[in-house]
Amino acid sequence: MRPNQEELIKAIQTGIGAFFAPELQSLYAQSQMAVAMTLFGIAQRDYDSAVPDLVEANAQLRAMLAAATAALAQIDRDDARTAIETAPAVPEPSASLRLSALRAEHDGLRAVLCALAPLIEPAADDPALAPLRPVRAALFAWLSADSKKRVVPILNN
Amino acid sequence: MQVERLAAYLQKQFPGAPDVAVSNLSRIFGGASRETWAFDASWTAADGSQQQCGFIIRRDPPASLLDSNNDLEFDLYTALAGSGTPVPRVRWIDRAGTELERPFYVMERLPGITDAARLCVSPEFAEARPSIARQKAQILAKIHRFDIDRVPSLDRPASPADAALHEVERWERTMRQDALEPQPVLEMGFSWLKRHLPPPPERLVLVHGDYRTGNFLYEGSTITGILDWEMAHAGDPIEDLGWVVMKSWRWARDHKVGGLCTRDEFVTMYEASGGAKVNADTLKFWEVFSNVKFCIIFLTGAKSIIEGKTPDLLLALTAYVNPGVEVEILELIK
Repeated sequence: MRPNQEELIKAIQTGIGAFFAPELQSLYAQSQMAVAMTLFGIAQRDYDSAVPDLVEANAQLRAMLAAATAALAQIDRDDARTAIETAPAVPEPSASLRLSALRAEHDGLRAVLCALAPLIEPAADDPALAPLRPVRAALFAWLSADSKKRVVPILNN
Repeated sequence: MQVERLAAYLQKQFPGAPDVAVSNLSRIFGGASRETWAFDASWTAADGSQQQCGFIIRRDPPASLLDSNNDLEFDLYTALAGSGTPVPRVRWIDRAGTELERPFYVMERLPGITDAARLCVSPEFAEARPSIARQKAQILAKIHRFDIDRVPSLDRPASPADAALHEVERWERTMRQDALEPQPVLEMGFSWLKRHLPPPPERLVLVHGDYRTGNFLYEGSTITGILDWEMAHAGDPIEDLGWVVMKSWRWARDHKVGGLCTRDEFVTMYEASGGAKVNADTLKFWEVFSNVKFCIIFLTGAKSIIEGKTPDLLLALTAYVNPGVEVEILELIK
């Protein structure tokens, strides 16, 4: 079906820009309109790749959490054992490719990462947490790359 | 906001004036923590002279980036008047919110503009930038010498030793309350912050809390007013410097902090102006803290718009600032 969803967003954006924007009188309304136009652009940018991006991210995150759990098991410390016992369960891979299902899986994986963060982050300095160092380095690199994918260049200096 | 209601309110403030008139009422874009409106007023004084003045209204929004109150800003502007820190003169406050739908206060409009990008990038301000940078450092040192006991409504930690953890815990609470999805980068940031708490400052000072290029008015090569005190509190002076040096304010997209001068130049000017001695590790702690805090502010904004508490699209857009700030946090603590 054409126009498809991305084309529709672009068409709405263009139509609003052509017919509504020129009618706006106040600077405040014009500024809100400019923000709306930028948001339309973000929605279009993220639309096409949303599903494969999440599928890939979830698989990578799942592998890193497995590595983190294995590293924690090598650490003979109460807080490491407690972390394994109390962290939320790693969610099962989503059987559905619906965005809502993939997002829920992604949030579940990130929640596990959040629970382990107080042990993973100090691993760089704490010799007792040394088994976690490769995981920490890999996770930081992954989180940074993941964030970079979502950067909107005009919003960051 | 209705001009008629505003005029009726002003009439009450000038009971002897028969002819209070309001013109040029317009909302100013930005300032997502509080609505900002500008207007002009004219009236006949008791001695028969014609008076006119430009005013600014700061009104509570339906929802915002910050949970703050008008009282603090009003109290601060009142207390800072005559202190050497340039601030607008505040005139009236309506805490009940009965006059213009929501609580607000009114202050006189100062000359100047706040446009950060223009100041930091435009050739027309090339000669002004060194002077503005120097004033920015000098005024910050002055703010940090202000007697915080003059503003009882200022939030403050129990002692200087608690200053850093007090702020870390405040913003961690806000994240737990407002984040709509797990935030692993911020969790890593909080873990790092708790492990790198700085030594206590010599004393608690007035921390502006949002001291950046874009939150002061300038005219030519002069800073005419320091604005946006919603996040002010008592704390460690280096907290403000951590905010100053954040990558997010490097408007010229180079190494210049606040788009104005190098990090070392700013620290040197601040110290030479009577500011606190700056320790590099303490400054790094507050730089990391500032980036974490910045993200959390936008999480609050995102929650507000997703939950339908406000139609302000700026709160949706600012949520997309966070990925870039997350990259910076990871770079700082890796």
